[in-house]
Amino acid sequence: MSNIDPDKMVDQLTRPIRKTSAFYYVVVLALLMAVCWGLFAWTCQLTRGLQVTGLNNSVAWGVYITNFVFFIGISHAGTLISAILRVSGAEWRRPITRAAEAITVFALVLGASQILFDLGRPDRALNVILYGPLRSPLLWDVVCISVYLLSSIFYLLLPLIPDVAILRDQRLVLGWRKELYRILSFGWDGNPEQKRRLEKTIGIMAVLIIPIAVSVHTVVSWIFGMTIRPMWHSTILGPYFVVGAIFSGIAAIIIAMAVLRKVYHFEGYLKPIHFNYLGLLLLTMTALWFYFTLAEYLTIGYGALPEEWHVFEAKVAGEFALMFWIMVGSMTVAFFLLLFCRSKWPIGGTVAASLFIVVGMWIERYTIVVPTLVKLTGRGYPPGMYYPSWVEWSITGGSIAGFILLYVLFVKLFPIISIWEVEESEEAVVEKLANMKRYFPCVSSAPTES
Amino acid sequence: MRVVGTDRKLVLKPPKKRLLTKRGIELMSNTEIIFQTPGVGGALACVVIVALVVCYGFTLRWISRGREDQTGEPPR
Repeated sequence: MSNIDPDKMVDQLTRPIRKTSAFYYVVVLALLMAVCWGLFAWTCQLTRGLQVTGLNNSVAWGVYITNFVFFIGISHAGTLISAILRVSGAEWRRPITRAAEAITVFALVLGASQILFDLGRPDRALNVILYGPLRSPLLWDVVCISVYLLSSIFYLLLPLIPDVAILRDQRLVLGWRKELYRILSFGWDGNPEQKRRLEKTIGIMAVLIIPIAVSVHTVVSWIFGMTIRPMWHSTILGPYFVVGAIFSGIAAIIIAMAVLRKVYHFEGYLKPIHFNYLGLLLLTMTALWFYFTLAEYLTIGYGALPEEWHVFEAKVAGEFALMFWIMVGSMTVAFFLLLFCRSKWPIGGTVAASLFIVVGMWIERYTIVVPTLVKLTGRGYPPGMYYPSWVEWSITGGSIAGFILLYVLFVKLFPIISIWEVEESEEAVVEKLANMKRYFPCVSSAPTES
Repeated sequence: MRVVGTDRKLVLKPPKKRLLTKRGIELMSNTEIIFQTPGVGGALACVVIVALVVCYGFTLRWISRGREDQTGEPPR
């Protein structure tokens, strides 16, 4: 990395912003069409009511809430991973942090919008603020997600400032973009005092964002966990959701990185070693996910309380068994791919495992949300049934397309690999080697000092 | 009427005038009221969000002013 000339690096990393291929327009158009189809389906739902969905009195939460939990999980990709790597001083993070942080912001926006789709009457979302009592987990969720979204935008914006200043000073960038970069660079000229202040703020935010991110998915789990319903009312649900979120988040980063690498030829920046390291993290999280899943299902199955048994049976051997075992199968395939193929084919192996994980995690969210509501009998509830309609699938498709579209537009406006952080990687190497000298006292002179 | 005084002498005194009735004090001291009252949570949420926006805004301004503080020139 250090062999690349700084000017050449700026040129390479800003090329996606300066040059637009025909393929880019085709992708944007296709995504726009999918988003429009999703909006059309939502319009149908708004005009004709929730009767056009598969939702009913018994099963009021379906695909939309599954998407909500899924997107909020994906949102843990960026900010949390980036913050953990930053705090732990993992220097290999430098080219991947921005791609990850952008995922967080867009996944949060799309995740929060799922609640509006589920409400049927979006204007009633305001009722949480107007009439929400402090003891309501829904209100906790609104607060946590708002705080996380604001903090993630801020955390994305901070390391963007020096790069935006580079774009502001480029002669080729003109018009409204120039004005946008001028505003977002906040008068940056890279003097030591500004740099000191920026790095100090990023350092503080990296620490602060970790508990915020953990709180978000814990509170999302409490929406389920605070209700006294079978297989929801569980103390393990908070950590289980957080582990699942980090798990799916890392998988999302790997997919995004592989696409960016291929499309924009970032082979010199996103190297196999990055995929290998992220693959290792993913392997650890896969093992943790299996541990939590086993702990949850074994405890419930062994206890076999009548109320929980209905739901458990439906998941493992009943009407949701196919989905459940596809989920377990996906995770198993991902685990072995990461275990055996990661070091040989770091990119292909980790990307394939990530695809299995993303699909598996969506199914996992579905099998958490829906079976409990469908099988909630014996307390005066009518027997439930739920078959998602075309409206729900269309809105889901539109949401995924919207997420990708926002990401694609972001890549068009801002460098997706942090220029200044990669530029400083040479200094980081020197610093790291000097630190290593301190770890190993038998090394008499630091190799970098020569 | 309430009984006050020492072991040796007990005196009967009229009750002091209070702004709230005993029931009112009971209610106010009950923290559950705060948790149950509609809108209290929403108001607190708004306060947290606005405070955060202001805090982040000032931090950006502080970073921006790094140039001015060092060179005396205002940021571009």
